[in-house]
Amino acid sequence: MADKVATTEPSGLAGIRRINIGTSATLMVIVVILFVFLSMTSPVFLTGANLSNLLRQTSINGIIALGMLMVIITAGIDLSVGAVVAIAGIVNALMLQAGVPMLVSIPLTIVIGAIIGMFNGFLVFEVRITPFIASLGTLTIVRGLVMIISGARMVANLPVEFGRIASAELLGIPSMFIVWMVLFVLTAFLLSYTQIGRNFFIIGSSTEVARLSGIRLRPNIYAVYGLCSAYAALAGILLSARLSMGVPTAGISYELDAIAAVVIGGGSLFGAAGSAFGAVLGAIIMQTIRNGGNLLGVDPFALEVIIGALILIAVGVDQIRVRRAERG
Amino acid sequence: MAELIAAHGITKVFPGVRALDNVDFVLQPGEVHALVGENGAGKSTLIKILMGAYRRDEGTLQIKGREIREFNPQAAQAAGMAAVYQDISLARSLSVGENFYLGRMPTTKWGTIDWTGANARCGDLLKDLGLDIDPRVPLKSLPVAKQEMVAIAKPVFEGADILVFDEPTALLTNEETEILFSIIRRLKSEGKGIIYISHRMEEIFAISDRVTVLKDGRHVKTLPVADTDADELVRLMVGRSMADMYTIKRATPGTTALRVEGLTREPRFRDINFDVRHGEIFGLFGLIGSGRTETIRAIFGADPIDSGKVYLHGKPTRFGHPSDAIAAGIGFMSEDRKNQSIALPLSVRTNINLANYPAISRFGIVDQAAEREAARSCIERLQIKTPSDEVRIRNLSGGNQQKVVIGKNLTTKARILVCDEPTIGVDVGAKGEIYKVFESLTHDGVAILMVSSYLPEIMGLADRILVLYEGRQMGIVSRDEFDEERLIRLASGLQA
Amino acid sequence: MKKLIIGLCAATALAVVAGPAFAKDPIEVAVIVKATNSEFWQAVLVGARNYAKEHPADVTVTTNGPPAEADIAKQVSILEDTVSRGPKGIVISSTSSEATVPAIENAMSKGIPVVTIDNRVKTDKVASFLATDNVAGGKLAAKQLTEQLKAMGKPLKGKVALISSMAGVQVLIDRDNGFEAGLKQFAPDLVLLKPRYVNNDIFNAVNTAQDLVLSNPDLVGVFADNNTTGSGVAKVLTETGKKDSIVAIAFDSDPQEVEALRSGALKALVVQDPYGMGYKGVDSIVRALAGEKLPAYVDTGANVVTKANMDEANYKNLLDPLSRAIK
Repeated sequence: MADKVATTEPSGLAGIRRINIGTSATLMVIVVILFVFLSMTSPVFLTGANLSNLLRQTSINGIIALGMLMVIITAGIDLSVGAVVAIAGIVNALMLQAGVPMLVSIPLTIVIGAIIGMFNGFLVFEVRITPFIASLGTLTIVRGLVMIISGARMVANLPVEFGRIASAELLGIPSMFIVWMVLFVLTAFLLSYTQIGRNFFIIGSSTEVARLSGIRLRPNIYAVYGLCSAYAALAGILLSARLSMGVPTAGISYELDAIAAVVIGGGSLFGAAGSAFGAVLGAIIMQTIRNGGNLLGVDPFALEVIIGALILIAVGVDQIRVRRAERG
Repeated sequence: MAELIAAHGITKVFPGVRALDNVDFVLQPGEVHALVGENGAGKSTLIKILMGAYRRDEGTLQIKGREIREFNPQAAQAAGMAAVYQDISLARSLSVGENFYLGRMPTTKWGTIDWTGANARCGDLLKDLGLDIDPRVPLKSLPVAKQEMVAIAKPVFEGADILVFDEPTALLTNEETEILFSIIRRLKSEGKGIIYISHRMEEIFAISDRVTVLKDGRHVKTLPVADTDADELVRLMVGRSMADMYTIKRATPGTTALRVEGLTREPRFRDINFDVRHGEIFGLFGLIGSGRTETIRAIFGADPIDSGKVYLHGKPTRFGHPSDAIAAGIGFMSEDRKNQSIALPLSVRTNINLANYPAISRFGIVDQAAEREAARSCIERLQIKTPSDEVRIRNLSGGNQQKVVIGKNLTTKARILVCDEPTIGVDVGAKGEIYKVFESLTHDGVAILMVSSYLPEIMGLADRILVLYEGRQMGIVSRDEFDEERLIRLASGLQA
Repeated sequence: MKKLIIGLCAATALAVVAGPAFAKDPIEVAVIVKATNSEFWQAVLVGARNYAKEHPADVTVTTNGPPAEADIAKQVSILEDTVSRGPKGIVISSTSSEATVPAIENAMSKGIPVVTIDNRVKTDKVASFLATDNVAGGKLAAKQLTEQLKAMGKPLKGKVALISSMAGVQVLIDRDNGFEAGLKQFAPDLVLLKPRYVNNDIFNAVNTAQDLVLSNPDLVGVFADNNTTGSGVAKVLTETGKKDSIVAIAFDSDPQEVEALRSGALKALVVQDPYGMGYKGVDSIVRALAGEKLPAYVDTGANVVTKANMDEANYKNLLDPLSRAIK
């Protein structure tokens, strides 16, 4: 008769907003500390130019992290997102070079990204390969494909309008950041207000519970990996727009940054935890440290140590907070 | 001799709940001290405080005569305390022997692990305890009951002298329960102290010396077992007697809700035939391995079948996936609550709505108001004890978790409820409440197909009982022919 | 007696290995590069293949390499596999200075001559080492930087940034050290900022250059030590409109860098001769198998290309070695 007394620790979903207040509060404090510290130590940090740079720099990882978040909520992982960034950049650039209009090439590229993701879903659901291994295989295949279709060369000389996608600003806000925020709102809505968002959390708790509750795993698993890769493909398109070329080696190890952002933001690799707002803050924190490190000329190796330590502190503090709540 | 544990005035407050209020608990050497109480009575909290897992807010604690101020699980272990919980917390991939030595394997003079010596010593102890278990096999290769026995033997091996058994028999067969009792008697004769937590009254009377009753975080009474009986204990715990518990007001069965013909899934079960009527509780009884769980899983569409037919309201149906069954108005409660029925890390609200989202979503968007309303009405109707519907279900007691599972099926307005051991790991009080819910469901015309391996329960509730033996249907017994001996004979493969 | 037997065995082994060389079969030379995904390494392969095409009866060339330069482990296993396959000779540009040593020594002990190119490996047991003297190249870059500043009539004062593609790679360390030493020599009043590393990621290079340009208003020069960083720096200077106030010098050449050179975003490129490295690498193997004693080190030279000379034939070849491929 495990009469564990209910504690008042709120949890995922029931109150998706409430749970995040705890984690997000920790993160907000870190962001504020970082901003106060950097604006005191660097005269340019708080300038419009730098903030706009920072937002542009963060957007790519930020977008990938939102897709990764959904996969992680289902207790999965997608290591192939960095490779998808590369292949999306190349495929879209090749199409543009061939004269395909942007309005066609971009949606088509996103669809290709989604198909790669669904291939991950196929491996995970039909073949029952663990997500880590499945997406690792996909990563390698896609990296190879990128080299084959690009001939290991950058694809340059893209239409000028394409580059403008990334450099444009609306009321001084970089377009890349706007795209990221639109995806953030969409993702947050999907996770908090839709049936499929609920399904992701339930599947992340236990696939058997989900199945016995009448949730069909197949469409949900395909959807989550497809979405994740579609986000990564969009990130790849934006990245190539930012660089005005398709780069076959783009996105190497971006999956790790995305996972880090999700985890800093309160996601758990055990599944059924995490929020879009947390992932956004996680990405901002990571890039702010890199940006600040560059501005201040901090030793680059010390900077990596700091970022690594920060991941552990953010996750550690959150763990302790949760355990306190549970222990009473 | 000094008391092993002397706890006085223990108080523990969680936000919003007074989990323990001025509780006294004393454990003597050579004593088996049973701890009973309803769900939420404070048993687990008390154990966690004694074992150092929680800090107490007030009260004094002496372990073996020593005043304890700050306590933690390591210190408790060092003081010779050990607890065996219901869910086995051992390393399942390691061998039985390694689990005994966990982290401190004996070494030879060469500094290598002394496998021979280690396995010999474990083997000796296991044999000594009457357990036929090879210390070299990986734990996970053993049946669950044997794994539990390993978990029980481990503190004995470690020489702990204060042992806590929390629902140790939940996974055990009768034979192993006997072995457990002999182990406990032996520990007792060695002057060790045992705290025994169980829902099963027979066990408490079979093995313990004294019993402490908790209710709502308060200490009700501690009394020698010899001076009391099951009825009194239940009354102390819940304020009503046991005989009332299984007595439900029967509904008049109506039309046939579900009919099963020649259902077969080799090698689990074959040629199963029965029908369940609206307003009826239809029991499925059998020992472990009889195929009772497999049968109802197949009906629900969770597992495939080889042949046979399922008729729903007279129409032949086939459920390829649980979602088909749910859509057809069938609810399901698994025997493995934590792994199959509830999403542990998610909130009570989500869990109540687990199967309800298709119904309350339009164009894929969840109607949040309907979701909250479903949770609210369930919590109210089933009197689920939770500070709010946003609390993770993991933090609720077993009984309240099970009520959420029932709520999940009420929410989908299931007309047929298929349930597997609906009161497993649930305390007496919550059991009674679950029976009351079943009663009201049958009066609303819901058909209940219930698996239970607990005879008093199934005999008390069911209108008819189908007995299974090794996947074979031994017969259907109707209520006026219920007889414990007959059911057991059938379940053991003997004709009545 | 024992020695004699060993000697005999060794002689036999050598004879077996050398055998086909006497026979008129073309000898197989395996060329392993750091990465197949860059123009630079493709140019090395073009040089090597051109040699084979010019000597079809004598030499065949097989090429291999990991897809990305960061993948040290994969290159080691490619080398190990190649050694066990047993070509007549190996030309390798080793990403790591240490990791490939055992396999290289193993090949040499089997009688397969190994010529290392581009990156020095920490063993003496190689047939020859062909490389650009990267320290000298770095110095050349520093010299160019000061000369360009002077030509623009600017005082040799202010800050200079160094964006390095990756930490811990010997070639880049040499370039960076050469640049630092050169700067001290030619313009002691210029302050060199701490190097920033970008993991050979062009987006990262762009971000870093952006941050450096913004946070150092007195920045007068930038040194980018490979094509990735060079392209990134060029992009930022073009975007921020600072290409005329900040002198950027980069190493290597690829289409983006060449374009930047033409547009003035990069003021000079220090280019090696990868084509020559591949060509001479294979040639060295042929000569080693013929029993010739090779010099331990051959400098394949670093050259400065500017907007002024970029259209001259020599420099054109250096800038676009891939165009020299014999079909």
